[in-house]
Amino acid sequence: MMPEFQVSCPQSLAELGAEVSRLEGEVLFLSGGTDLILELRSGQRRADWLIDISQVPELQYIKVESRLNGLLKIGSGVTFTQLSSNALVWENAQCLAQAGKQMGSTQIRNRATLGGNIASASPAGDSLPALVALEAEVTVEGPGGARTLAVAEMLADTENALKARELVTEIAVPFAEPRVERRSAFVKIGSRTQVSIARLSLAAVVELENGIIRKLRLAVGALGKAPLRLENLERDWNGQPVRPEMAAELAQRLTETVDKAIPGRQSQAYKRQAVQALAYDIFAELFPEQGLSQGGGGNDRR
Amino acid sequence: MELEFKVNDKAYSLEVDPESRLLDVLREELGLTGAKEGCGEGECGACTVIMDDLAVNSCLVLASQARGKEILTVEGLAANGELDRMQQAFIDNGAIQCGFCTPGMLMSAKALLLREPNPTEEEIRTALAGNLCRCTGYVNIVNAVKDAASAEETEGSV
Repeated sequence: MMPEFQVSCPQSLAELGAEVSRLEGEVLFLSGGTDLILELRSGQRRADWLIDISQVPELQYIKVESRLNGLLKIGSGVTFTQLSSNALVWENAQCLAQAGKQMGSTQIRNRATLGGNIASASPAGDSLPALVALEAEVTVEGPGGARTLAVAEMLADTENALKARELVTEIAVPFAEPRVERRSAFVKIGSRTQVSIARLSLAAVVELENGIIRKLRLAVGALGKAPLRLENLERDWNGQPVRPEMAAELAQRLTETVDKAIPGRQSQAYKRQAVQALAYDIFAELFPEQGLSQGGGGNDRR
Repeated sequence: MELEFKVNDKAYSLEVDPESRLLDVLREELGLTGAKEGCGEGECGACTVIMDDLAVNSCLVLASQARGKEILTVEGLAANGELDRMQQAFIDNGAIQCGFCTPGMLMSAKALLLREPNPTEEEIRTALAGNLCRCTGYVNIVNAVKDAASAEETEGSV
């Protein structure tokens, strides 16, 4: 049996807000519950109150807004099943759809939410490298009002982390400038091809203009507390035409990144090899016209 | 706290502990012991039931989160005393050995056919990836789901 707590079940955002101010003691938000229920049962976390947000309709939407170059806006209550079966997400944030498709099992994807994945901030969280590579922003609402910040900032900095009674409400992915072609992909490696926690994951977003790279963002997951960006490589490749030799260079740079991130760690020997396969997987997926084969995994094999 | 929901087409209004999971209420309050507690962590799928047409691990859903929902358990598959064609297909294909995983397998497979009446083998394997079987291996189970799908299709086209 779990330690005792009470559950509050708001059916709207207004009711939710009222409950947040009314309830006393330690308050936690419950969404899909696929992590939190286990943490409560094991005693890893405790609460006086759970506010169940899984039936708040205002947190469940996927839409495109025309502000700036366009934005994909996702309510934090959207499940991984909804995320990975939505045409707007595939069209505008393919790496996020791919990450959603590979997270957990069907049963888990039917419950787990994007907001929950961000709030849990597991180093192996599948959506996180995709969101970081997409330069997504997150809106957080709490007793002190609302704030919007980059997902990367929230994950990297304890100062920016979620505070008590703060709730992730929305995720926004900015579009590329007009006439720029954006491609993205997410690949991961775990102990089996399905239902596995990522040992390593990799998300890439590339923007091309006439075959020239004009913006590249790469984020590696499960290598540190938060996804790791490859900023040097991103800078080096800017302005360059895509060439097949870049796959090997990517593999090399990722190996160096692993060596630097987890020197002497037991998993280093494995991860410095595995990351090379991910490099070839993602390169083949991003640039099929280069005619390179994948590194042994990739989304086609799953 | 009060919980109002439907299980196998029957409406219930129950007093439940806030800490109870959907699995606890099904098994202990309603006596529906088809859904099993295997790992209790969402890895094995033995507790799978269908909630509003979607397969879920009932060990990872608090009972209160099922308020207003329609739950289908393995008991609801043969509600009128006649086996569902998915159940019959499992028997015909030897897809059952000890039986512990079977209710969960059936509900994951059923949820797949609700969404995709004519699934590919890959879709079947993905739908069952969160259900572990330690006896039969998965070949007979996948064959059973294929059988049930084609039976459904034949029936639908007549």
